[in-house]
Amino acid sequence: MSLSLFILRRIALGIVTLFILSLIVFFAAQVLPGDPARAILGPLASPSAVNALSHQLGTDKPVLEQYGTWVGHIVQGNLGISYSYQQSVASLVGTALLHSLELAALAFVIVVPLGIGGGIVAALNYGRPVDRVTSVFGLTGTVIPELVSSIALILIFGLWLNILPISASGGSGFGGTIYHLILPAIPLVLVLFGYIQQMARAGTIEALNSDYARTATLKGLPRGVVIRRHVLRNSLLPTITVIATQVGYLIGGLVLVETIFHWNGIGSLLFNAATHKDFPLIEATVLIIGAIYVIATLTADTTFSLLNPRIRYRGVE
Amino acid sequence: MGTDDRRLDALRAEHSELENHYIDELVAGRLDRRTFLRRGAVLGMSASAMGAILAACGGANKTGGAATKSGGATSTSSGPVTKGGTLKLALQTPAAAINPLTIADAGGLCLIAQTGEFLTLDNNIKTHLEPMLATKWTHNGDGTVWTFKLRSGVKFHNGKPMTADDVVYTFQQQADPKNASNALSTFQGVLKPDGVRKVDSETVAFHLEAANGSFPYIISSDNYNAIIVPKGTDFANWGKTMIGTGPFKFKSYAANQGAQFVANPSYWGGAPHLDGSSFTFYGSQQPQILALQGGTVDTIVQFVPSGAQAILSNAGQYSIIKLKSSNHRELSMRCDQAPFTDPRVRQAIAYSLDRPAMVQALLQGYGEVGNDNPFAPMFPSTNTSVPQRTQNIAKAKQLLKEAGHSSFTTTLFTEQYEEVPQLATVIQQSASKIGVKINLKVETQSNYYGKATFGNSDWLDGTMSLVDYGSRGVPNVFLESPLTTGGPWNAAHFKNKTYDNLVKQYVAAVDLQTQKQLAGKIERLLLDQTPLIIPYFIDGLTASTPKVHGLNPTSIAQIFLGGAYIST
Amino acid sequence: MSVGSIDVRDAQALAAGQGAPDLRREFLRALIRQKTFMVGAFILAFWIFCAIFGQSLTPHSPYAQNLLSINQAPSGSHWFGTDQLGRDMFARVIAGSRDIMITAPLATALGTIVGTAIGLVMGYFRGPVDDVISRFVEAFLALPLVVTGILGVVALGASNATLIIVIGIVFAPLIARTVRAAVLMERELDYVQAAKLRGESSLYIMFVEILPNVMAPIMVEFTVRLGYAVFTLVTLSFLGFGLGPPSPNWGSDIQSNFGVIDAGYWWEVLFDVVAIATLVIGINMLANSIEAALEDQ
Repeated sequence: MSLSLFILRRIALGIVTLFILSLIVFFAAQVLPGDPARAILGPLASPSAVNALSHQLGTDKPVLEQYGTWVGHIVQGNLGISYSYQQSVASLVGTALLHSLELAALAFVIVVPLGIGGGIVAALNYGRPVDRVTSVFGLTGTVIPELVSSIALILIFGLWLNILPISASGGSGFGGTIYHLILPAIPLVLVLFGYIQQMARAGTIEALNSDYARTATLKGLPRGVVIRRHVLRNSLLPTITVIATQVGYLIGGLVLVETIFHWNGIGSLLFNAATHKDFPLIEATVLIIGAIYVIATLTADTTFSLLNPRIRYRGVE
Repeated sequence: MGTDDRRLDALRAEHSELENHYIDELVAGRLDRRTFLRRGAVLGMSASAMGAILAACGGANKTGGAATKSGGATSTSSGPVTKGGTLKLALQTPAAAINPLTIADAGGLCLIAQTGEFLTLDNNIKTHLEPMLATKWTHNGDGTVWTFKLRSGVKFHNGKPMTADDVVYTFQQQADPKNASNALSTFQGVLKPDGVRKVDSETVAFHLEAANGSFPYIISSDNYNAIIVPKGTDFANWGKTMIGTGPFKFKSYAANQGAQFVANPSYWGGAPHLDGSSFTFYGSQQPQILALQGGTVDTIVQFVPSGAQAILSNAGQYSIIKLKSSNHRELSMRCDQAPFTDPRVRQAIAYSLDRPAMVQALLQGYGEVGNDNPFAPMFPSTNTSVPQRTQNIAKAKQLLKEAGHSSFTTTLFTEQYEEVPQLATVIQQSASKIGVKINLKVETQSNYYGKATFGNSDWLDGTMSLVDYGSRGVPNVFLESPLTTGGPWNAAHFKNKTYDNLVKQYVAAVDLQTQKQLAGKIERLLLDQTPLIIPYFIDGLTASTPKVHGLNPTSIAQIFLGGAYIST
Repeated sequence: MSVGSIDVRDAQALAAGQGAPDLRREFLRALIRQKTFMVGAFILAFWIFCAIFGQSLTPHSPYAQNLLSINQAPSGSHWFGTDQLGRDMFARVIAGSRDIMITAPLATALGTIVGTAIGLVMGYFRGPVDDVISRFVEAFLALPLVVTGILGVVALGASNATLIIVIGIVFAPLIARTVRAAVLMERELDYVQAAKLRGESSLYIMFVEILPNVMAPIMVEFTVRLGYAVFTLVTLSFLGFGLGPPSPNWGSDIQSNFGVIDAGYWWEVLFDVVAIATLVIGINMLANSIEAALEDQ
């Protein structure tokens, strides 16, 4: 099986996965209480108003018909209209997604160089205290819930030292936005650092022990050059893999971090959509998160199989 | 200070029988000046007429400025007005489309009142009803037909003049059961679409289904959906232009993010001081407080005391406008389910509560104790001669013993909303002191309300149920829907013919003395029966930096910025 | 969502020698030799003790309110201060361990059992069966935790049982993937082929022949997941999907006291946070040492 065929097959399977996901969400959403019209008008609205609005929204139609309409729109690339906001879902999700990406991007910008650097330093100091301390720190970070690290950061930097804002929103301009996003980004950095550092460390150790590196060092090339030319390149790929596999997890973490730091991202949008039983919005949000997850997994698998060609034939995903 | 009888008699001749009744009450000292202004305004007496009457009664009269303020600068004009600037405000995220028919949440109702205006304004700072798009109003003597004279020379933001046709259209749409109007629950039994009639191009008459002494409140800013829109407006698309008559015009709106407005230079009341306003939406209260502290916003439109310690304890740094409101919590006990079939059991629960401590702990003192009836201290008709219920553990135990239920276990359903879950645990602890074990079920709001009909809602079906009620200008809705036989929100399943009759009389009563007298009877009956417990009424709070002046918030989270300015 | 999934290559290394008693003793000895294991076990034992006997460690009840002494800073009478209703935070933190110590293991066990069963089927049958189930597993993996949480709570009501089921649903596909990978390697081995030749049923081969040989990665996965169960439980409770008040619960206590941090009442969240951190780290120390001990063999 060639690589392009492998990727094509994975894309096809990904679409099937997303379709199943949409079905799961659709049927699960049916158990949500109340109805969208009631959620919009509030509990004290008169029943006739609720019925009238249900009719306008089309939520009084049979559920399968609603799903059919929705699928019909989707295949035309139309995400539909949100029940509660009466706006195109695409623009709502788009804005929220951009917000979430700002936060995620900042976390990546901090964690990737830090993780790779930390891994290389640990590998160069293999077995020494520096190696052990960074590894223990990294591994501890991966298991500490964001809830714990976020609140610890708020208490330390926001309340006691009072040097960083504890609300993510409120920054204006590029610098201001980043200033407000630093604290929310750190819990994500802490969780990811350990994985990236460990991958980079393992990659570096392997590369340093490779014939090429040994030959190059013997040939008298400076160590820095060897690391830059060979080791870095070879340890980057597994790092990308690990980052890609963590994307799904990162989205889960984003919801919590966005809630704690009051950031209007995809997490809060999803939360509101679910409480309003806003079916088109729930479906679109979940599907987009699902698509990101599927693409990330695909990227991870592709890079992984580039490294280990035999994996393709084994069919391990 | 003496009364100028001759002048007063001359003035009496110009007024109706009911208005003269108020004048008598005022002269006899049974009405204070502020209440006189409030009642007079409801009946449509003009401010100048009332001023003349008060002047004839002697002494200089200070009117208005009744809002309690703490902290830095006051919000009413002080010093020279500064022109220009954009006011930045923090607002609860509107949860649904910006549609005047369907809007039901604090964020949404605040936004529509930025560009839209009402016939009358329930001015909570001055605590009386004010003319807005209507300049005068009268009724036919028994309160069944109310006629409103419209302000002339008012133009919509699209340049068209506002006329009776627009007002008739607005109210016919809002009162039409075929529309998904949130105002329907207020108009039920009061107004039908065909009751809204144009008299001439500047006069509209409302023919009511039953006499109503508080009708000017029912079409006021209290009925937050009832902003006047141009005839033929498609409400679903109104949010795209937000055409109204107000001091600010629509500039932009982004769902979940924020909204901007610009000054309307041709506003009937004169161009506003501000160049514009910019609202940022927040999903919860805490970030709004942080934004005010961090200088991102100048004003928080409305916040609740719980969780606001950070700004409430920093008095002086912020100016806080505190409005008396009828915002409250109701604990209903099912009168048709043992052991609550016995009123003594219901009373016992009520006696177990230490209300002043609850106001202090749960509201940081920003509230007033309730007396298990919806007559909030802010209503003029509230009868204060009825004694306040206080904590009495011994009496509570005694009542339970008499009822033969010395100890029992029951379940309380409630919602995740503001301080409500904490209130539920306080009630639970208090009840445990008299031997009643309460199991708590704290649910998300959608779970708790369910379909909001009997048999499909923990709110309405729960043995004990604790719910929130937002502020209103008159107690009518609180008296009817949750307590009358067949009331749609009667979670207590309370059925009492005497009560139903009293409420009917109260709603129809047009003069304050009768209202007060009936209120006393209702209050006593509810204390005796205790179908529900109202532990406290919560103040409406607005906070801003000291450089913001002239804000006019209402207790239901509107904020009128026509007179607002930022000092330098 | 694939945090902490263990490396597949371990499975082979670990698979050998399961079930032999002296090897098991060897394994236990290897465990006890590790400092991380002892520390982790100590932390876990501490919280188990608190969960069972916590009430007797303090004169205060975690439920008793005192509206006259709310938001009190830590002092001699209230070591961890009091919360917004004047309840003793020390009593609440100690008592808060009970819910977690019951729900976390049960949730993890549910996820492990369901996940193992699915993984066995996927790995053993491969082909179309694997492909179809894989789509569902993938779809569930792509489902955000919040959605599962909301749907679960709404469908089943807020209770510990709901949390257990929600976490079980979240964990099962993760564990299924690990088990599947281990089974894929196992099924090519001679003993499986031999069982097939003997004419044993698929069910027998999967659960009697293969399962004992993939127990090692399942065990490691269980302990790793246990840590994440705590992680997920407090997250869901914080987001409001847990049991409501007045039950002492770390996650929901943080949620209800979080709003007053900016007023300076740090003690109302700090100790809950520290409690969560110690428990999670303790469990992970156990998980790491078990993994290391297995690797040693």
